[in-house]
Amino acid sequence: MIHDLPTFAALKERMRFLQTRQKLLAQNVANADTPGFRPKDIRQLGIDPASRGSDAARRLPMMGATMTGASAAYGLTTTSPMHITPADNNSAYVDKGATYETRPSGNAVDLENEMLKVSQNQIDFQTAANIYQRGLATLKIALGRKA
Amino acid sequence: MDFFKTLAVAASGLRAQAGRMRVISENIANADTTATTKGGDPYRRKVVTFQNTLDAEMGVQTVALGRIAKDRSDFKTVYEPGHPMADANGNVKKPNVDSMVEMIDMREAQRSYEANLNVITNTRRMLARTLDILRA
Repeated sequence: MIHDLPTFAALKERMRFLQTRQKLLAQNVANADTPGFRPKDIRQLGIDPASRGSDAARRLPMMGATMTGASAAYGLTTTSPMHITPADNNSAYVDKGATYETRPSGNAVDLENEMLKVSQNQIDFQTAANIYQRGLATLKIALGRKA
Repeated sequence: MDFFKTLAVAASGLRAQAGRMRVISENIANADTTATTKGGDPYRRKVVTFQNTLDAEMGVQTVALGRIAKDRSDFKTVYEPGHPMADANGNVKKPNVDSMVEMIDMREAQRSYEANLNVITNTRRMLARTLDILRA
């Protein structure tokens, strides 16, 4: 499979991450007037030098800002199919520090900031998609076809 | 596919802002509507509320218009003895609509609407870019 190649696997993960981030940003923008709503975002993987280690251990602490220590590395154990696993939107953390302002209604969405993040996200996605396409072209050269 | 969820969230935002726009237009249209019966109340300004709803099927937080409430502030009274709805002192009750407030509300709704549209445009571009990989 093509995703056995590390480059493609990494790019796939990157694109999936950006996709999820886009979803969160859309939620922030849609709820820009909802009372008490606080914007959410995901931390970028691999940017933070403090988050070294194995890939799984590095990723799990990102899931929910409140998880710390050992519980962060493993999450919930399910021993029965009846157990409920946390929904995937747990991977988002509530943006606490850098919000520009909180309105009297308790809403802290800053539309300009969100717009900035949305365009940044789009550029990142295009970059990943371009590299993916280049990678495919390289493979085609290796196969002896015209790229 | 997350992109379609993104589009659904942004669409819910568009719908909510369009509903808000509708209520604002009702307020502006009725800014001078007096009571139809003597001693009755004129048009009362409506206020929209937004609600954050979790779409369980898709696992995303969409937005919806909540209850449309009535503004409880006092009516304006204008001295107009010739008006058919004037009371014994010649005062007419006018709606508690302030067109300046409605204008500002309208701009805010427009801004939020545009932001949601922007998200849709961006997401569509990302989606199209993904499909472009297939064409390489």
